[in-house]
Amino acid sequence: MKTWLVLLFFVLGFSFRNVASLNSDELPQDDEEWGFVGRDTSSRLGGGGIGGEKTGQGSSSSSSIRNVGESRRIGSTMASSSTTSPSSLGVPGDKKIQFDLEHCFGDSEFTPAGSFSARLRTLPHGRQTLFKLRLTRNSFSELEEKAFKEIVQQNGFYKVRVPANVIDPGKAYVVAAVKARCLAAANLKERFDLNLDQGNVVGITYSSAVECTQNPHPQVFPSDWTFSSWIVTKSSEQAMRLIPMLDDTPLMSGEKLVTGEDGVTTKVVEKKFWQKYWMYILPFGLIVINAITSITNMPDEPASGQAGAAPAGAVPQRISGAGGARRR
Amino acid sequence: MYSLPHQQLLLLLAFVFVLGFLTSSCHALYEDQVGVWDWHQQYIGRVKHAVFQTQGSGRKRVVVATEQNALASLNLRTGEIYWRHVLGESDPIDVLELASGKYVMTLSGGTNVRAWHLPDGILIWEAAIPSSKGSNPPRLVALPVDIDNDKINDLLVLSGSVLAALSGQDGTTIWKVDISGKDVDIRDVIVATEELKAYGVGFIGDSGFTIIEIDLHAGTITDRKTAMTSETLSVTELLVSKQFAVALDSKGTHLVTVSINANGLTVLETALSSLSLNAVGLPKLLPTKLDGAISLALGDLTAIVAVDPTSGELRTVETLVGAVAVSDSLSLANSKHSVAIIQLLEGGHSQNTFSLHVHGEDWTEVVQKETVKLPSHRGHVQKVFLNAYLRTDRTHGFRALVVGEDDSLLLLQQGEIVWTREDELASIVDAKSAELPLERDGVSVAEVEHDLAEWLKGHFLKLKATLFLASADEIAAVQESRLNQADKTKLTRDHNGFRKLLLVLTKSGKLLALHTGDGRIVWSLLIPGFRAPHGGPQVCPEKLLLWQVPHQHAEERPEVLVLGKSCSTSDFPAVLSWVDAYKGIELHTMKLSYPVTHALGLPLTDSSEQRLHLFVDDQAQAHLLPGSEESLDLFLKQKDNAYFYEVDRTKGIIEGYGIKGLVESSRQTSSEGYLFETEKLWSVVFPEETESIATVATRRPDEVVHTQAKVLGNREVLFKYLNKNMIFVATVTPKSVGLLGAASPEDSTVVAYLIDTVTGRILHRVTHPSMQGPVHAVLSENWVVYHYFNLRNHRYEMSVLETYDQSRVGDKGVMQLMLGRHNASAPLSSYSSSNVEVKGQSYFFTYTVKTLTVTTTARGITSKQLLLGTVTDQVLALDKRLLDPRRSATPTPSEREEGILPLTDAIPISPQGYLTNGYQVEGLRGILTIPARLESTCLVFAYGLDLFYTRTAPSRTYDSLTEDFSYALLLMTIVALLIAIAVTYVLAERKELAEKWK
Repeated sequence: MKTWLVLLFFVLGFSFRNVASLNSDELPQDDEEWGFVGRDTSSRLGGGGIGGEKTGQGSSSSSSIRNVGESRRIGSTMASSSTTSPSSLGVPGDKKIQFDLEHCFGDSEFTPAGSFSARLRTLPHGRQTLFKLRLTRNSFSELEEKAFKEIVQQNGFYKVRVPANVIDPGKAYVVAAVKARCLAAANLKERFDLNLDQGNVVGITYSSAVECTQNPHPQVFPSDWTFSSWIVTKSSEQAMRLIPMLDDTPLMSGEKLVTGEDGVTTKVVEKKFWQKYWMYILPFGLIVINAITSITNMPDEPASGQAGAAPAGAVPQRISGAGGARRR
Repeated sequence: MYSLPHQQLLLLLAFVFVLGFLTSSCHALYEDQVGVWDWHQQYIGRVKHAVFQTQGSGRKRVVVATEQNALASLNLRTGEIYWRHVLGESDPIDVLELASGKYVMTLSGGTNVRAWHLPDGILIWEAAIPSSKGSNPPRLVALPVDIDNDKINDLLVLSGSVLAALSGQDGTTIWKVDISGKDVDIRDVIVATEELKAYGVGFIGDSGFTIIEIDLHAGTITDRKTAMTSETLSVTELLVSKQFAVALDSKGTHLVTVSINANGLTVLETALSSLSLNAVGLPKLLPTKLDGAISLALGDLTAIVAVDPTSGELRTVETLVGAVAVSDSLSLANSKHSVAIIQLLEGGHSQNTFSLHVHGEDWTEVVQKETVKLPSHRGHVQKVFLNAYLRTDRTHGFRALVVGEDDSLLLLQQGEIVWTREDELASIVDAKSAELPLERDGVSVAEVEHDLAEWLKGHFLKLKATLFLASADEIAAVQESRLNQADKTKLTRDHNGFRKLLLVLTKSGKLLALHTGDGRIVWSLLIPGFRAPHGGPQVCPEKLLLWQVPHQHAEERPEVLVLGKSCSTSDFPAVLSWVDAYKGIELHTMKLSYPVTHALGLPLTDSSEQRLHLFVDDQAQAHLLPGSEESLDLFLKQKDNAYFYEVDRTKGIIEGYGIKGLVESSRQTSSEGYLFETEKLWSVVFPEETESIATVATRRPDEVVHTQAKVLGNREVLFKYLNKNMIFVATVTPKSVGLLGAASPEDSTVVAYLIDTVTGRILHRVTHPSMQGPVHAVLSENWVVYHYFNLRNHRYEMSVLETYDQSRVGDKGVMQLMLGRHNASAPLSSYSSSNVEVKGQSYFFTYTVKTLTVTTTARGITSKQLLLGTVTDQVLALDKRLLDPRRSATPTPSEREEGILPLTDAIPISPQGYLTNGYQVEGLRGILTIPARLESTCLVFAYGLDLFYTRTAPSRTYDSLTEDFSYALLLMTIVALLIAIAVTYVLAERKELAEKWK
């Protein structure tokens, strides 16, 4: 648990450091690499393109191989510096793709709000993965700013959408929304959680980067109208394959296979004769011993010459005898 | 001094003795406990074909085939089932015939012919006819002759274009001939026994008739005759009889008759107007088989028209108005025809009238007429089957089997109803439970229960039976008293909450209340608001909602709301009907102006405890009911927290909506509900090529969770992630939806999702490669269990996912939890950043599952059992502990202390886990679990074609004594002990005195 927390803090800390580092000379170079030459850099002011890399297939193996798997929750790694995945750049078959982020204020139509860029890699077995996901956010125009203020006043929702299929965008869009007041209170620090499946976006969770649970949320306006985006990509976990527990050990002596009603065959150690019938043998043995002792005592009695009516306690000399009379 | 240990020993011994008797813990059911608190009822469904077997000395019976694909033989005297078989869902019975007096022949899907032994229902043989194109209803004729000389009469089957003769002995095909050619469409086959010829009758294109003569022995076409008509024909229906065939022309103005005689076919066209039928509308030939006559419907008129076999001339015999059911005719000895007609007479109080008309030769005059009044609460009669028998005075008597609008089955004989079967219960759509009324002051408990002497006597008998001292008669008396406990069937609430009403909504639009004690029908109502003025119900009942459940005002009656939709189209406005749950009376009904895609019960009730409901229409607008100011005020306060979601299975999209403002104009029409605009907030789009929605599981809205924390063996605490808005969605690869083997293991995947329906957040997503649906799932508390098929291992698997809230991870330790230094009471918001840990594990499972549910108890303290409807139509209870993701191969001592079982690869099935005991709930479709007031006990109602009810206690009945607890033994032991103490005391005193005197 602790390691997990540490990891989270590490990721958080790292991401903020990266936001700062985005103003370094590395991004323009990146821009060129991504073919965005000519784009107004001012539109990306604070456009924290923090990419997320797809988490690896399969879950980390845990103590039991049959676990569906512990969740590796946030699979975000910093992709802004190429050092994290130096090999990715040169791999043939990688493709740059770009898709739009659209937004709307309350009931208005969806309008472009920025664009995501990512690298698409086709793996040898035909699967595709998206990685190095970055967002270039357009800052609000005056009209949009006004519309945003309006929905903050109404306590409405600020909605975003991206195409469900980012490689070949169709009509289907994945929509997500956040309370405008939450986003305003967080000073437009937003967080996208994208659930990816190959080239598809299955769902987005769009939230403010700062916790917003108060309801109703107080009405505040952002002090700074620049977006700061935090992107987390999540891919599906793969359940552990259930391997039949084959009992290969050979049958020990005395064991036999019994098929139960549910069709499951189990090994049963056959009980020994004594184990099965001790409860009968033991009382029987006791009775026999008792009988034998009484028979061995029997011939002595007439020999003693005492009256049979005499109480047992009246013959103490017999008790100390070797016969060991058990009568009392 | 000496006496005391002696007494104690005696006491101890007595206690051991008593305990030995009382603590016989009951793992399964004993033979004499069957039927004490469970019941099982068998049904067959709506009858569509019936044949009577009344000849011979054997038991009189009627064999019926139903729309639920059941084939059954019923006792004609009592209506009881002699035997019954339920065929598969894709195996509807098209034709039912009796052959050779002892075989029942069925034809399913035009391809499968089966012969069943009439007395005991054993399948004698089954034969498959190669299916051929053609959508015409298939025919099966039991020949009165033997073609292949095996001394058993044979069969003719017409399926599509193929006519085949089958051996009555074993179903082998004797010959097969393709009789339809280009433009030739053979509809029916008739047999001329004397000439050993069969005739296929049909259309040529749409402008002529054809008749094909086939030699029965050789199976060759020997002759072909055709007759062309001047009018184009309507080829939807052709009525064929031995001497003529009748069809309508395409315009619906003429009846075209073709007479079949030795020298060819004669066509005669008769204008409908000449038949003096004063009605407008498109005529329709009814498939009723009348010997020498036809019946046709015209508007709301039904006419019986006699046909002259030689000339083909038509003559109207009878015209009937309104909802009418006409039986097939029976030919009697002296060329008389009898026909049963059931008419619904609308008037002051509508009533069904059964009239039996016996017509003379050639359908001339009515020579005999019988009329019986039928109860009208069974609606319009749908079908009548007529049977004749010889009375003691050598005249003809008639009996009729009547299928009501509510799917019930009645037998009429000698002017009265001999028996009734409530076969609507075979098609339950939805089921809910309702409390019974409180015991009134006027009704004394003593009246119902026995007096003390009798009570003691009963217990004494029980005691004798326990000690094996009772005679056979006494044991029978004990069993009798057990089964017929008077308090079991009372119509009032009991302390333990075992007595309840089961409200069941059936497909035919009937609402019934069953008593949980013995399963009897307390009341039934064919919902008037759902009945169409004519013919079958246009409105299909869809859902049962609890509208009003009084808690504070116990004198008020609970109300249920029934939602009905159109049976065919989805954009048809919905119908609502409110029904009193105690009396079974429709309080009022409302035809809405909008269709309802789904209905939601909100967790809000107004001052009269009416639950607020949202009805979402096809425009995704929400309508709030009840339409009162109070409910509006209540809802407006909570509006910002109201969200709903819609699942579009065809598109593979789940969309979430929030509620926006009230549409002011809907204040005027508030009786239909206040209209609220909605706003689409999120969507989850499953990739079209790789995933299609297989199942969606939600939590029961009324589920009670006792504790939020789970204390582990090492005294640490795990916090359950209890999100009421979490749903489970499973998707499968679209390719693998069909039959097993449709997709290879490599490209068949099941993906499981946990989705928060307020924000659309995907909390967890896990793929199971090489798996295939169908997926069954159940979601409860913080866990979900789902069942699917493993293509690699060729076995079923069950997986469990449990969610734990890691954001409360700081509040570890039981002490902190107990001292209140924790934030467990902090509200859980879907908007707060979740930190959910999901634990999962999979197990092999032996059976196919039909339905999956979980037990519920009043406070949620008792551990849970999963209830599975198995492929053998039984209900299997599995302990939830078997499906614990924390099971490991070698549990640590602290885990063992917690009750974690060692890991196995398969879920073991214990034979004692079957709640249904030896019964089968044929065609099992659903299981309803109802919490009793006693925390340990859960009531279970399983329904399909059959009904089954029982109680289950997942952790044993720890909070009450068992039914067979012997109070008398306890009482007697106490008395005996008191006496023993007194006696030993006196004896000890005396002895002590004697000692002192020594």
